[in-house]
Amino acid sequence: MRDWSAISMTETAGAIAEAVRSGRRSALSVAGEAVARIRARDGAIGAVTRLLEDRALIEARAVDAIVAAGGDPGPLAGVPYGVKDLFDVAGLPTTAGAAMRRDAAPASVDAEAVARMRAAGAVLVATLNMDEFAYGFATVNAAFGTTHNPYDIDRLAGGSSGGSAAAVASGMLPLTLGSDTNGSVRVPAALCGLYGLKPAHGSLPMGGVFPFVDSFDDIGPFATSIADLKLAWQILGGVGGGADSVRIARLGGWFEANMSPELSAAIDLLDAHLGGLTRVEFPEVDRARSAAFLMTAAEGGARHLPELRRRPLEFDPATRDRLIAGAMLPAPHYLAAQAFREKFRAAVDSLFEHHDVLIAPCVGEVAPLISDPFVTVDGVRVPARAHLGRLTQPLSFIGLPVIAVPLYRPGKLPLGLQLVGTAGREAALFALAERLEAEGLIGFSPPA
Amino acid sequence: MSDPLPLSDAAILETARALLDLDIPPECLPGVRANLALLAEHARLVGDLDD
Repeated sequence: MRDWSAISMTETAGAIAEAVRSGRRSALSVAGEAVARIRARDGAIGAVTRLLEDRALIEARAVDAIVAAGGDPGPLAGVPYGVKDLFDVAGLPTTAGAAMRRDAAPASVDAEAVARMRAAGAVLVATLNMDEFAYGFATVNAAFGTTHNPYDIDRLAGGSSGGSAAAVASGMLPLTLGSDTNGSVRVPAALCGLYGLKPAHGSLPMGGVFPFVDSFDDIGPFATSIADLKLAWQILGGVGGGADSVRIARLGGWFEANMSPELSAAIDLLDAHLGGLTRVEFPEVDRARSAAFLMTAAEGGARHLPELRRRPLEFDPATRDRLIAGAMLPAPHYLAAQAFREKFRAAVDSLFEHHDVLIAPCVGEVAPLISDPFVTVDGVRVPARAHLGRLTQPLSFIGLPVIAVPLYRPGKLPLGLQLVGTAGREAALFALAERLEAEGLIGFSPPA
Repeated sequence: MSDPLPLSDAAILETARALLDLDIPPECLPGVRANLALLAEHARLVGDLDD
């Protein structure tokens, strides 16, 4: 394992913004430190695809000018952040993790989410690695390399937003943005010990985000505290009031199978801490996951069909063959999956008449080794790239908002939970996460 | 054990060409076949439109 002792404790975005707004620190110095951290650390991690030093310094100077003039640059004043390489950044090609898009026409304007972050005073420092076209849970990329887990560089960071997670967990940046179609924020958040948000489908701006599967695509932030995650959610457009009381249950069945003993014990402990939770089950979760698999393959394949015709050998082989197969999926299977989704949604909605938050594991075990990228499902070793999302995929299938939270376990490899809610009642998710963090059950602990 | 995808390589190539105007490079065929078999398994689990 790498010696991370030289890394100082990660500052939260909220603390940085408070210092910059009050004039105690300059945004320029904060940006310069972030650039220096990336230069020093990313060689071992492989999270950053492009370091945007010039842009960062321009944005930081603009923040400092507002402070000097007595103004307020916003709630993320001077906070350095990065974006998964599928957000449009004005003047740069949006690669979506694909070698073939390195020479794409530069984006003319920033993605809407990037514009909102800038309006809040945040400073964009880097674009971040991902699985090609967001199709994977590993961030093993033929063109841009593998992103390594900061807790053990011999292990996967998870994906597809692995660069976004590793940049935060390694202390390079306090806040990043990723995207989640089937678990691409939640899986790397779990493996890298972070908070990550998969918002209610369609609730945060997708303008200028390279699409994968319209039925499921959403953007979401990564952070080291629930306060930072909530702040980013609100800046990106999330709305919701307080939550007076939160009715909590534990998801059983599919979501309890295939957990490592240490994860199972940790959830039992949390269950007892909360006074003993009712167990509820979603019906036909295996069918839901399969339906999500089919819709993902079909929509992804259809989207990339023009380039598959034109230059198939320029795709990452791990992506290409799945996209081709998806494009060939007969329409009745896609329509059956869509129809099942509505039945599944109705059944799950009825559970939320009695509960506000359902607790489930995020990934059943710690991060797999890069040299042995498999996970165990029903006693069988299966490829991590496709199966790390088996617990996340059935939830995004019906667009539920989910906060991935890290179990607090200093000195150990990260394990994460999902707090699952329903659209319009996200306040309950944040309220429970805030409580669990305050009571020491969840929380970020930097790599030792 | 029966073939999870009872479709010849030639049939896969011809279907892609005829329906999608897509020429699958020979080196992609094993991966495409494996992924089609996986999709077929998932499709069986999901069932038909009125299931």
